[in-house]
Amino acid sequence: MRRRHRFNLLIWLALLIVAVLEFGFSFAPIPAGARPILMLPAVLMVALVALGYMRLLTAPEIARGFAIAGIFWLTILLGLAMTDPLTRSVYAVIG
Amino acid sequence: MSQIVLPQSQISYLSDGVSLRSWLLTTDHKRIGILYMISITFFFFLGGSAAALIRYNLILPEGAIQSAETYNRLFTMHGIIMVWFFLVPAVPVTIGNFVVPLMLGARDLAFPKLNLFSWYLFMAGGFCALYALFSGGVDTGWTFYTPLSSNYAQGHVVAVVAGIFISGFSTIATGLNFIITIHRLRAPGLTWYRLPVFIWSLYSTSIIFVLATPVLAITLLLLVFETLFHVGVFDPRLGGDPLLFQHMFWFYSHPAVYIMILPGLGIVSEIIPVFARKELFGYKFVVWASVSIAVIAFFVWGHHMFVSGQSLFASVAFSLLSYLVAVPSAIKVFNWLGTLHKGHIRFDAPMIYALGFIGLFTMGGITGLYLAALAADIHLHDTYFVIAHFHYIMVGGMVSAYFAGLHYWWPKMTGKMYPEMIARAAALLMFLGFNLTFFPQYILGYLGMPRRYHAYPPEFQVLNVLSSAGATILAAAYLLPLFYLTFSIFRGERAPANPWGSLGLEWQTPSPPFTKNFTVTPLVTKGPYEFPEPGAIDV
Amino acid sequence: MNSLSPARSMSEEVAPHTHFQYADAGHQANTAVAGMWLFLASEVLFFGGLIAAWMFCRHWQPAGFDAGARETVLWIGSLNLVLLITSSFVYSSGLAFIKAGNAGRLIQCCVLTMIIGTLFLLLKFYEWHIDISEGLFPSSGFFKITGADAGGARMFWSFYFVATALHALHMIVGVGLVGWIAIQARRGAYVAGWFTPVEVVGLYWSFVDIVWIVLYPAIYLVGRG
Repeated sequence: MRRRHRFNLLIWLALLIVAVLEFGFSFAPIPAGARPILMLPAVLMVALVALGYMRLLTAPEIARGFAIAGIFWLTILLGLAMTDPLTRSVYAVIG
Repeated sequence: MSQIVLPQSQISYLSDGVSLRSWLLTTDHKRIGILYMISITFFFFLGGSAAALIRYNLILPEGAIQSAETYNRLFTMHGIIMVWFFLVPAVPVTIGNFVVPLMLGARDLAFPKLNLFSWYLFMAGGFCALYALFSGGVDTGWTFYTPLSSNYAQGHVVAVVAGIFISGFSTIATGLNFIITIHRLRAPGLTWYRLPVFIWSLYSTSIIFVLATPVLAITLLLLVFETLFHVGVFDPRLGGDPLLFQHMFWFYSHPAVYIMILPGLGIVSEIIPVFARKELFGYKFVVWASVSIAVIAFFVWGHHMFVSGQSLFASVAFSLLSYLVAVPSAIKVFNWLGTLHKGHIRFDAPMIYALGFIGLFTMGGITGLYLAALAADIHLHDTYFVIAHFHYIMVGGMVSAYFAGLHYWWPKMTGKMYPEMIARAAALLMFLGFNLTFFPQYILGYLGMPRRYHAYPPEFQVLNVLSSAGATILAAAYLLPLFYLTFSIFRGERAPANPWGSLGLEWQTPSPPFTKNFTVTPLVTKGPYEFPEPGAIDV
Repeated sequence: MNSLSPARSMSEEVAPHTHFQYADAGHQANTAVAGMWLFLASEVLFFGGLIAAWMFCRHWQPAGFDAGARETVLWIGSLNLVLLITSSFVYSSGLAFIKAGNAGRLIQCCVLTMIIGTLFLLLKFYEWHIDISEGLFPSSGFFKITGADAGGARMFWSFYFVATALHALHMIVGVGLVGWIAIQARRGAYVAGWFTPVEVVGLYWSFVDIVWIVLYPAIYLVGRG
């Protein structure tokens, strides 16, 4: 049990470190178009919570399947939807 | 007379408690299926009445119902009720709820209380939407496009949307229940490839329930926010993007049409082998086709938006993917034909509905391919061609399949046989009435008659009148089962456990089944379609 | 097709907590955990739709969107992030304690989690109060940001209020569930051999944490260039 508690504590510290780095990095002079890369540390933190606290790796196999399905479908939603704004020709309003 | 109380594994589920309370607080999946069936039937006839008024209006070119506004509210109400309160739930919550644990050899679903809760959510959503629809309704069409729905609509957008939002949670709960039950509560020996195709279809449907409906939920929430506060998220004058609404709406609503059809495909796959007395041709192709349809369904939503201003690149991608999604559906049709070939075919009512399904679904499906072609869609979008296309699939296909399943499992659910000859007549009448109603609409659309118009140029009148005449026949064909099925509950012949000679697990229980389904958990050793060779045994 | 031979009879006595359709307690426990993960997958799509809206709006109105984002109260958002991360740690510790049979420590962890959650909510309400009194609620009346950036800023603040309100709603449900766990633990419902509800509620709680982890940079950091 001590190992479990120590593990939980390590995950907590890792999360705090990534959070602080994410916070600090936000002050760097990143151009507006590239600012969404600040979401990447969040992805790392999500992985830490899912694997560390939600113990996805020891969950029943279908649970892992469901988690992967959720991520896969989220990627379809965001990716395929964004193809439209990113490739749309915007015509200026006349008059 | 003294009552002998039997344990629940020996009383018919219908006799196990007769008070209203025992029905309204039941957690028995069979009773919940019956509760849903009553609700679904009510919504079907309500949506059908709106359709009747629509067809009545269209017999005159200037519109028989003088007000365009009333007409707009009618077709909106028809769409909303038929989509969210009939087609999306119909088969999964009625036949599905009843039959899934029986087919799996289980005693109930994984989460029975959640199942009851989902019925209450459905009723709450239904009442909310009905209240709004009857206090004046909405004129936006079932698609609620912005900025019409958020800025200009006359009516009760928020209330209707709230009803749909609530009913969405009902379907998420049902889908979750089915997926978990199918994974976890299969009887020993019931491997994935021994499962009936109906189970695979409901599994695929449930994937869509669980993953697409939440996106509808957030879309409707944002719509309500926009309607109440006019912030501009969907309003181009304020810098927003009306296509954002359409993308989010169709991300759910396209997979939703597969929610509507997949269970029907499953039912037909159950009925054809039984009434052709032959093993299902290409089982693995059929089941993986169901799963593929459910997955690819999520990649094609932009085909509703070809003329909306969406980027051409995205349109091309969506068009190609839409062609891809037709392939698994076609595979299923060929498999049914392969099953029928050299089979020993009986034309009982379920089979007539199923055969009608194959033809009507194929026609509807092929016309979908015309619409998926970018150039053709420019001409056909928003015309009666689209209406004919989806009614061929939803009504010619899905409603036929629902009636097929209803007749097929009726003896199991009620313990009574329906009158066979009237049922066959109703099935044939339905096929005739359906084609008369909707085939002219293909022609009307090709000739350019727009949809959602309460009046039209006089040269289209003949086709419209034909269509409305067909609608009258169709209405009669739908009313017949309402009467004879209800009649059969009271005066029908007692049904045996297995009137059709099927091989599924659900037919090993008495008609109607015991409350706890199985006295002893069955052990499964074979698949459900392994009929002996035709001619080998006289059945 | 199949014989009804009694290979395994389900009409035997089952352990307490186990419902009649399950073979044994382990079967039911795994099913409950799987059910919660599936529910969380649907929640991913729910909040995912909101992220799609964020992406669209920021794409079409980058200047205004970020102008709106700069008005967020950074210290409250950041403090709330630390609070939630800590609450996940505390609850997971509670789960580890009950796995070893220590219900007393579980209750303490639950109470602490509830306190942290309530603190989060109080800070959130205070933050909304600040936002609204500064004229940042995007209705058609007075709005703090005017001029060319007003449209984009309004859209940002719509996203902000919808996202944080939905998240707060999930938090309130979460605090309630953790409270229910604490009450059940007090009644002695959980032992080292059976604690499934604790696990299932923990999954939900960590998920609510995950949503905040994703919303935090989207709301407080990306627009602050």
